[in-house]
Amino acid sequence: MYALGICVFCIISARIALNFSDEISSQVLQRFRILFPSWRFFGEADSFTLLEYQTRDSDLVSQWISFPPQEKRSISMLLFNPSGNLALAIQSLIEQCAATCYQNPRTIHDTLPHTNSYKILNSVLQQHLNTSQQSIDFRWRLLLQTSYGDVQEIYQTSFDSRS
Amino acid sequence: MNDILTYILRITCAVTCFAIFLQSIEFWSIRNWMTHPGAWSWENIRTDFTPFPRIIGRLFERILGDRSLNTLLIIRMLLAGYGIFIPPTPLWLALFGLSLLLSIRWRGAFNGGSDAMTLVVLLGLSIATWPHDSPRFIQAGLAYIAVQSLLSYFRAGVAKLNVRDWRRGLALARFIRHAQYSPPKHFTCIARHPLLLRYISITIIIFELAAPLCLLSPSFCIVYLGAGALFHALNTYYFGLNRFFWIWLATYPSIYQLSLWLQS
Repeated sequence: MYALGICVFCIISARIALNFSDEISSQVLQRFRILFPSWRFFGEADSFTLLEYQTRDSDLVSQWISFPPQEKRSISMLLFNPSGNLALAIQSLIEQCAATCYQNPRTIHDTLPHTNSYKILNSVLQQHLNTSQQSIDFRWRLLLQTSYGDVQEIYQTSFDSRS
Repeated sequence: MNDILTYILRITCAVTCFAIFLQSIEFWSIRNWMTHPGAWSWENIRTDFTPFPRIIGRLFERILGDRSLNTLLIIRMLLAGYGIFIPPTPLWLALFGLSLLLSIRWRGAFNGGSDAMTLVVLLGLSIATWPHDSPRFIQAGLAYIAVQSLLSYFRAGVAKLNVRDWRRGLALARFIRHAQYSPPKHFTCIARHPLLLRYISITIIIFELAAPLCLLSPSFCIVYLGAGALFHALNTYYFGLNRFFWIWLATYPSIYQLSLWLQS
């Protein structure tokens, strides 16, 4: 009887995980999505979203720079890897912005700047460039790289970062 | 059997607390990103909480605001540090609550899967040590952790199996090239041999799909878990997923326990 109870418990928890994880649309539930994991790691391999930024100091405009920057490997990162994990969180933010672009392709320039993901991503770049202390202006763009290697721009901001 | 159960529970508790302790130190070192004027400061994420009823929104502001965040991180760090050395105590619900709050603070998750598995393990340990260390509750709590861990491998395997580029080895190469670390030198050699990439990809898929077989034999389970530890160590090396390594390691004693229990 006890074994049956455990089996039922396990099956129910597995079912809940499978059902709830596929689509969590409510904004409130989104904050709790961690309770319903999908476990589909690296399952979406069709395309990658990349972010690049460009700085402008006086009239000097830099090349497009990939962000977050690549890190160096070390043995110690098995125990302590805060910058690596922060970079993963930033990548997740980039993908959230890209998802908004796919959902509203026609009205993207009206909708994306009003999202929190956009606001935070802008702040991430500001913090990275430390623009509050320097007179550097920046803009950024989202790129989609397909499995065939084609790169397509899906969104670009203007040199108006401090607004 | 009860001795083994208690021993497995104790190992699970210690490894879990160690994993959470490491997570907390990492959070502490990046707290300038989470508090004013950081990107994830409360000021920036405040509007995420507007869909909540006003009273709950205020409660979140009180608990997760920039001022209280440091306190939250210190409490979590101390609780986890305490749990590494002390036998299982009912601190798991507190750690569960704190970890959930931190995930909410990171707008749902900081590090996706590892945050989710942390909560799974803490929920399982809450069951295992509730209301007192009864063997039945321990068994149920550990079984929950084991099932979720095995499910995580299996679902990841199914997801990869459904993608043609994974079966052909192209996806693996792409993920490594796009990782936040530049591809290691030996990978450049591997990438020149598509057949080798395909074999590695298929091995990963088979490894993940084979997870439920752990329940059929404790001997196979030990071999599988050894391979699993290596798999996560490689993931840390290639992708920097150190949080996954520790928290998945914390689930291994439970998987072994479930395997033993099903054979008895």
